Amino acid sequence: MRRLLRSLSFRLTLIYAGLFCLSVALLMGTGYWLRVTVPMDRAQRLVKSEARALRAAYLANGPAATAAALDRRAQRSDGPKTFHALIAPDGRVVTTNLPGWSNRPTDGLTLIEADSFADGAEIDHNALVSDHYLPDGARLLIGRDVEDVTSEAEILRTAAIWILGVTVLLGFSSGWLMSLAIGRRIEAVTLAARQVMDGDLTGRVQVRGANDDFDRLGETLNLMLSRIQSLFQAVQRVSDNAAHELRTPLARLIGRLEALERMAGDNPALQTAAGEAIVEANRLRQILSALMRISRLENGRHPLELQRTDVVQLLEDLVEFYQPEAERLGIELILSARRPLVADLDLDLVFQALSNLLDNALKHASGGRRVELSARRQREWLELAVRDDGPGIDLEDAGRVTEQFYRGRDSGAVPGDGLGLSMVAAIAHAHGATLELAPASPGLRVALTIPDQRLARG
Amino acid sequence: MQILLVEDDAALAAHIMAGVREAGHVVEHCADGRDALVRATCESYDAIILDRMLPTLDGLKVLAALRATDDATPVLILSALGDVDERVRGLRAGGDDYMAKPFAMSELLARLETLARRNAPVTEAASVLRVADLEIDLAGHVVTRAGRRIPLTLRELRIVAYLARNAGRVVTRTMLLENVWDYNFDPQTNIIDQHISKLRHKIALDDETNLIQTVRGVGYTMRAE
Repeated sequence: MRRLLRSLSFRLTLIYAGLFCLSVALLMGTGYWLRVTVPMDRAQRLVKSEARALRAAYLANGPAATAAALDRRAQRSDGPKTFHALIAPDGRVVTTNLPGWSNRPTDGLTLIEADSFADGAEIDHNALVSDHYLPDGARLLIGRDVEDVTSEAEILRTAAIWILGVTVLLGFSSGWLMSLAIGRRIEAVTLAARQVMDGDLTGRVQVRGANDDFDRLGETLNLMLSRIQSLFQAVQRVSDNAAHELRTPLARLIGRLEALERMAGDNPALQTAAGEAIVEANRLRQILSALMRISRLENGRHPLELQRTDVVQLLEDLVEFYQPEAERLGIELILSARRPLVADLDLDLVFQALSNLLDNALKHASGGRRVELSARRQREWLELAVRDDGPGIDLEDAGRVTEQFYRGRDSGAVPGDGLGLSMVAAIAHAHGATLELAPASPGLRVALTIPDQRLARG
Repeated sequence: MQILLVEDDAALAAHIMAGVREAGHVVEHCADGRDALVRATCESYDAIILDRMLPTLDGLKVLAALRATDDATPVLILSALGDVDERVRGLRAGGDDYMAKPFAMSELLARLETLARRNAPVTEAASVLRVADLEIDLAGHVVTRAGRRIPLTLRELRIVAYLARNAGRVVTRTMLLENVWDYNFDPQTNIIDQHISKLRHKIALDDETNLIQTVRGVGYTMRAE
């Protein structure tokens, strides 16, 4: 729900529908004002001024003359039909053309129904009446017909309810449709971006061919992706070729060095030199294959072979593998994980990653006494972590250690090629996992957090 | 041993042939996939060294065609495609072993030896292995040296058994890693050496003959001298 509220298209729907309703309401308000408020005001002013004039006439000329004047006014009316009633102080009706009125006058103006009959048909009238006592106790009602205005007001009010209802409905549904359409176009871009991020550089944004803004955005993005793809392919070709072309000569080189070693015969100096050269050549070979592997993992060309794995067994095998080395270094290897802990993993890759981490922990945790290997499930995540109690690393190093060939500033004396953590990062990437290095005071804790969709339930 | 080498890189082929001949084997060479298939089906070899990327017919196709004729000659696949999944593909296609280029000649020779031997009907299925005064009862998980029982972990037992099966032959560190541990991975440090030294310590009681010997720059061998 919160995601819906935060989504741009939903907010657009709300704004669109709101503005749509507001403009319709404004339009109708103006109509009402012109057709009802203004004529009503005019009628009110007219009735008030007539009432004032007739009151003055009554005070000056007395009831009889006023009654005559009222009858005259009723017969030759200018403008809307006139109404009146003059009631003497004793309650006798002197003259009237109103069918009835309230018992006591109300202050100000009131509306009185005053239907009349002509030729057997009923004509609806609505009289706007000024109703006051005169100083001698008589009561004078003066009115004008406002049936046109009130019936129009009635019609407009009924219409307003319907129109507003339909407007709200239309506003929201069209806003919803609009946001759906926009959302779908944005989704197409997101989808293509995801596809590319997952390593499939052939992913493209779908273009509708309508040549609208989204099409232009899509075309631009597609052009960018094509450009990136061709650059990437060029780089890949170069590195693939380089790696491939390097392998065979390297094989020959190692062969020559081996031949040299054999030829050295009983010359120990020559034999040692050849042996050392072979060791160096082998190091080169290892770097080369590590690089190729990292590059294949990073651009998604290494298919994951997920299999249901007993994670604890995996960790036990790791600990067992590194136990002799740890014993030699006087470091205690601790495993903390509890069965059952099952996940779908690429066994060889995860083993490789953890092996690199353990290897680092053993190599770099100089002065440390223990290295802990742990695994736990946290609802949607499987967390595998290696923690040592060595000197740890500083923040600047933490950001850079996964770079290829980067070696921490204090690692001068430690053997390594600077590819171990890059490999771990590449394996994490292939699993959709995150790699986190954090100070563990003392030492360093490296955690690999693998998300749920890769995990087996139970 | 009679060996067929299928490799299109002339210089590398020459180097391999020199090394294999020096180890006392007879080697024939061809540089083309179709040619290789014809030769492999017509003649009988103890082992075939097969490159993956070949002109006219890909190495894996040669292998598949060969296996389709029920030919079980041990095949060692040699490839510049060294990654783990390529290795798995090669082994699934019917290869008996897989090596990535570049490789050390000693590694190739060691693997060839064990490969060719795998084809021979020997005591592969035997449940008791004996090298000198060392006796390994695989079924009972018991290792004794000169009648004295040596307590070993399961992994150590597997190392000893692998060495004993290949007694007299050189076993490289990679071969040990591939055959004793069930994971395909490259350890950064030579941890295998630590395992061997620990194991050696356990089975070398007192001053008796050192059964597991280091072959400098190559690996280990178990030898009764």
